Amino acid sequence: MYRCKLIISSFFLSLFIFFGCKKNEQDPFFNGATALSISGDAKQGAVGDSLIFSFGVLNSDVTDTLIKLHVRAIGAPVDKDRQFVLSVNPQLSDAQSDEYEIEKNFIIPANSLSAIVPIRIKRSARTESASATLVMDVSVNENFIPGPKLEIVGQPTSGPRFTLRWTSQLTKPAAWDDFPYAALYFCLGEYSKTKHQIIIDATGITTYDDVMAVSDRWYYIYNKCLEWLNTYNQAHPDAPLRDENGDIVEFPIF
Amino acid sequence: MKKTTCYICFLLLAGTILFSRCKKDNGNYNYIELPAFSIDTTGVGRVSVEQNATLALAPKITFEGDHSTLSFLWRIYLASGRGVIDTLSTADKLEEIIANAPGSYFIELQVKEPKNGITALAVYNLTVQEQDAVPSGWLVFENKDGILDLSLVSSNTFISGSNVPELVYRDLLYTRNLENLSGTARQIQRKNSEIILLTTDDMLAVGASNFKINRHFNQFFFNASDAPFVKDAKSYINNGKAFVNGTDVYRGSGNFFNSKIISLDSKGYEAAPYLIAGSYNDFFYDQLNGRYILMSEGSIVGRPFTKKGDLSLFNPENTGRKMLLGGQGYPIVSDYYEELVLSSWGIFTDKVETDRRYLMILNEDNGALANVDVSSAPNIREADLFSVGNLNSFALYSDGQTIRKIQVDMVKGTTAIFGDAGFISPGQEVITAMEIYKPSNQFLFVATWNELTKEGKLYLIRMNEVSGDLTEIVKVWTGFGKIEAMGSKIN
Repeated sequence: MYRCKLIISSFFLSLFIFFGCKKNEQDPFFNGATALSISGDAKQGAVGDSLIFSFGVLNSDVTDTLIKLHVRAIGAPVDKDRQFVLSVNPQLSDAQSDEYEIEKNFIIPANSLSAIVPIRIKRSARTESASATLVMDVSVNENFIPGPKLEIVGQPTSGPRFTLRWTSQLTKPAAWDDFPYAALYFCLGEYSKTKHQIIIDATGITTYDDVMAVSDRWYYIYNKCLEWLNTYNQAHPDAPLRDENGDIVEFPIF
Repeated sequence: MKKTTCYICFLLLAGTILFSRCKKDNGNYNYIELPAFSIDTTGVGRVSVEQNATLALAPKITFEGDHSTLSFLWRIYLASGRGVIDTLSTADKLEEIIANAPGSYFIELQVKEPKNGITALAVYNLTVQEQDAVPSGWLVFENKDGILDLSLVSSNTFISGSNVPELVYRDLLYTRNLENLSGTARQIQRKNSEIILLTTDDMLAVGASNFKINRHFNQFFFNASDAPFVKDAKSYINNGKAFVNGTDVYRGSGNFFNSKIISLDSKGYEAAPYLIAGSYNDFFYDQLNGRYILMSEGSIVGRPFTKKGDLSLFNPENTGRKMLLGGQGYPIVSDYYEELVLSSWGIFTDKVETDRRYLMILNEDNGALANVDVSSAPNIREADLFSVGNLNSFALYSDGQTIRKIQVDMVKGTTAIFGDAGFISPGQEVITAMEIYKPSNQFLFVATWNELTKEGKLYLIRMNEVSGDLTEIVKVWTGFGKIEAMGSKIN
């Protein structure tokens, strides 16, 4: 009887131990092939693997701007320049050829793992009322394959594709109602392009990432927008300001 | 028999055990009488010293024993927050240079006697002031031949605590800044670590200790280019959230002004020069439309005063009157946030019957509180100074010669008693400023000007905080210019 128990116990123990012998499937990008991933410049407004840019917050004299893509090689550095290929994805892009400029040849310098790819994007008649999209993919060549899509807590940080979208219209700033601030929503209500334009006209402020609710800057934006709207409506007593949707522009009154 | 024997044995055993508990407990300790041992900090509980100056403390120690056996330990540490506990001295009397940064500290004295191992402990509240710091006192904003400057009087007649110097600090603005101010002095207002000075030409913030000018008018605005021209700036509210420029009220976050108040209706407004600070909302009086206007926290929107209270007294949205003099004081109510909210007092004239005078009182929480016809109050039409008590329903007013009082029946809200308060300016002196010293409400500061001798005087007069009666001239300071505004500077 004792021998029987011993055999059964040994069997189950062996079963658990052998589970640890499962073949470890290596990530395909760690098989020695060097790869490339692309990200943007957070200072220019890039979030993860995309960037949305608006000429609407700039003076109308500004007709183009330079966007920098950060290209990073995965693998060991080598002692010679390495060419890489970025190609426009025609299915996902609608930017016209005269709406941007990009170089043809790209190189990761010797003993380096990164390079900057400048793309000049331009205002156009089309972007006054629509947006232009340019999707860049890493293409396979003799030096690199497309890198993996990297994420942190589900949010992409870089990958083999980068999406650049620009317009001359105002675009809703993330700080308007995003967690944790939602500062502009609290003082100015639901977003509209008209309200956004009032902030720029009334204060000259075009970036809002550092606007905390009930801060001096926040009170300033709120009060100057109230003042601007009141001045406009007093000058147009029978035609109060309406937004792009036809709704009368109003701000919360504390 | 056997059963009886068992009972007896049990009782004997139980009795023995019980009686054994009655044995006297001799203990293993001795009672001894400890000597009286204490430190007396009466009158020296609060001390102040300038940074890098020597602090001397000689504690009064009561000890029924040999003083030479006592050991002393003086330590200093921050009154709040984390910090290092520094040992200052082990001598019986403290005489040490205090190099700590300006702020509030505790100085702790431990005195141990070795025989019985007992310790007496005393803690002193210490304020370390900036070097060359001006102490607590009463500020006067004076005009000397068209040049404005500040002086401060310090005296333990109205400031409690030890180490209060009997001094007058003169020409503080010029000596600390080498800068002259012009115009007419309007107001002195304390705001945190700064003192706000309002003149007809400028608004300044000076450090409350060093009197260095920190900001001029434009720098009170978030965007200096938004600052208007100074148009006889009249009143800066005590929470710093609004001020009157001409007939406009400017408002902002509390740290900076943004824009002038806009009225949501099309009536517009002309602000009286007396703002009333609430805790969350503030309000002002609109001369143009005869109404009170409420200003929400941080917002430039002016709204009608909606808490109307007893409308049989008056309607805050339409009084039909113009404000001539204003002040704030009794009753003080506690709002939702348990912050104290003072009431607005004002002397008004009827817009039609311009000879009539009324006293109206209003509170942010309760609305209208009193509406009294004060037309028969002596010299009320000549009154140009007005000050309201915080502790009872009286106000003092002056025509430049005599100080009189109005005591309001707050139950009815429609009647009041008038009378002399107890001060007439002597000789050729004219009263130029008058302020109740708050929060004690036990003194009235009165400034006078003698045009013949070109000398300004400052009177400290004892005041009954309940009746407003002026009972005694406590002290007189002389040698000033024409004092146009006054205010408290208590550190």
